[in-house]
Amino acid sequence: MTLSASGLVVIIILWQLASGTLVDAFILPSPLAVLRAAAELIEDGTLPADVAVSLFRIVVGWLIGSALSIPVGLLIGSSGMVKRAIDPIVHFFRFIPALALVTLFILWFGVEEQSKIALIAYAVSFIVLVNTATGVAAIPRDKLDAARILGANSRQLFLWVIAPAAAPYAFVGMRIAMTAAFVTIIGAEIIAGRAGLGYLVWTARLYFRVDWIFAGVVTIGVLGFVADRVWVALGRRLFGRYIARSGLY
Amino acid sequence: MAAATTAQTPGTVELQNVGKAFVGRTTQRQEWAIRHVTFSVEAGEFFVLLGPSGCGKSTLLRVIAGVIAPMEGRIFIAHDGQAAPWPGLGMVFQSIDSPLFDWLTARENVEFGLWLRSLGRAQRAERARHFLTLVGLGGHAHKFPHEMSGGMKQRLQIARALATEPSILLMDEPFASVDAQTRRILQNEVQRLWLETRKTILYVTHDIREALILGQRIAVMTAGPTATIARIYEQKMPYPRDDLDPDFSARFRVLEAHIAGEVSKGWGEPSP
Repeated sequence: MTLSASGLVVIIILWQLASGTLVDAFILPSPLAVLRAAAELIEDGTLPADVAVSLFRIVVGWLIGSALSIPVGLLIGSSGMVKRAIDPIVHFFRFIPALALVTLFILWFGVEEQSKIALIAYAVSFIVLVNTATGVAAIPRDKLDAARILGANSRQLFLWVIAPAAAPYAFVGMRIAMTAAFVTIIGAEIIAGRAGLGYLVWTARLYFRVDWIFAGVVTIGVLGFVADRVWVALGRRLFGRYIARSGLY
Repeated sequence: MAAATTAQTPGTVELQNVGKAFVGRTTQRQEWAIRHVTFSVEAGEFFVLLGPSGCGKSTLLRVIAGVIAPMEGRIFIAHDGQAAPWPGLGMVFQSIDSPLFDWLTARENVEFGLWLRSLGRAQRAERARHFLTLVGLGGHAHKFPHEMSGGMKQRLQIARALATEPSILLMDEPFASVDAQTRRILQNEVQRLWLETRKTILYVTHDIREALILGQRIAVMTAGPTATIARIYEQKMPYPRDDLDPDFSARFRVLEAHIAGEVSKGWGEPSP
């Protein structure tokens, strides 16, 4: 714990020392200045509101995207037929960034939350899908053979052997996809937002408030950090037996 | 015809001219892993398939188990006519980790086959307890595979395979991956279980001593690439067998010479 904290403390100290001395305090506000800016934004309610907006979009989009793509990933991994049918579609759309589709999604889903959530679901789904399909491909042949010899038919094999065995990979896929969710929503809020942390960070430039930018950016980082920790802890609690010792980071 | 009658008796296995080929990765041609394999096993017999590594023994066992389809020949097992894998078969694999279900406890692993057969909760628990105790894992029912040693995991595999009460048990070099001491202990365990239950056991190994200690008949296989059965030796010594007995040593030397011949033939062959 102290080792993890000390790295951060060193960075913060160096940052504090550099601001105003090595670098102009306007373009590199000190940690204290950033804290003051954050306090200012919390007091007038901007920061809490933006956090709530962005977080809501992220979590809902991430959950929907994962819920849709895990079954597909499992099917792609298990069935050669499904894989051949869907692969070209997946590996085509996978490379189209969600941000390129912001306008389209607003046209299709409206200017309200739906378009932002759909965008995040889109960005999240490919990562989770590929990881899940990889998880299925990684199942040792012996495990499937053993289950078949014990009497499992194809449906039972899919539900009770393939799905649990691929679970650690789906879990990690969702963890990685969380990053994409953050990236997408901040980007979407910059391009076409009227609220949220991306909107905050972008519009701060109109007020020449670099310290607001810093406050927003640090908040995003903290939020992501906490979200990741929560997911890993939740995963261990709910799915402990599936991901224990799975050898994944 | 003999095949038709033996297929009806539970626990008998008969292979006629069985063969399986794979497409070579480098050659893109069909390469026969096993070919012209013919033998039969009687109900309750301990039958050993002995051969050097890489001679297709594992492939043969998986073909018998029904998870690989043979390309040539026929296999008769009681329940023939049903789709493979056939019920009434149990299998223990060489690998310690891959066959077990990591997300299930020892007890749940053993119950898996019973749960597939829609046995009630109390019945499953009772059977699992019985078989776990039988293999000496009674106190470890709640443990996960990653919390167990190699020897324990192999015993768990055995318990799981036995729980569905198969008439035929297939064992693919089950103790090759555990240390020598544990191996001897587990070999005794298998022998004890067989003497108690008298199931048909098809046991694959490369270990001559193991073959002579356990088996009633030993089919010696040729070395790869295309393996078949060279000879079947009778091993009629009474149980339990003493590996320091001169009769045992004499048989050991015979088999050893035969295997050495096969292995050097295998090494002598130029690669295609």
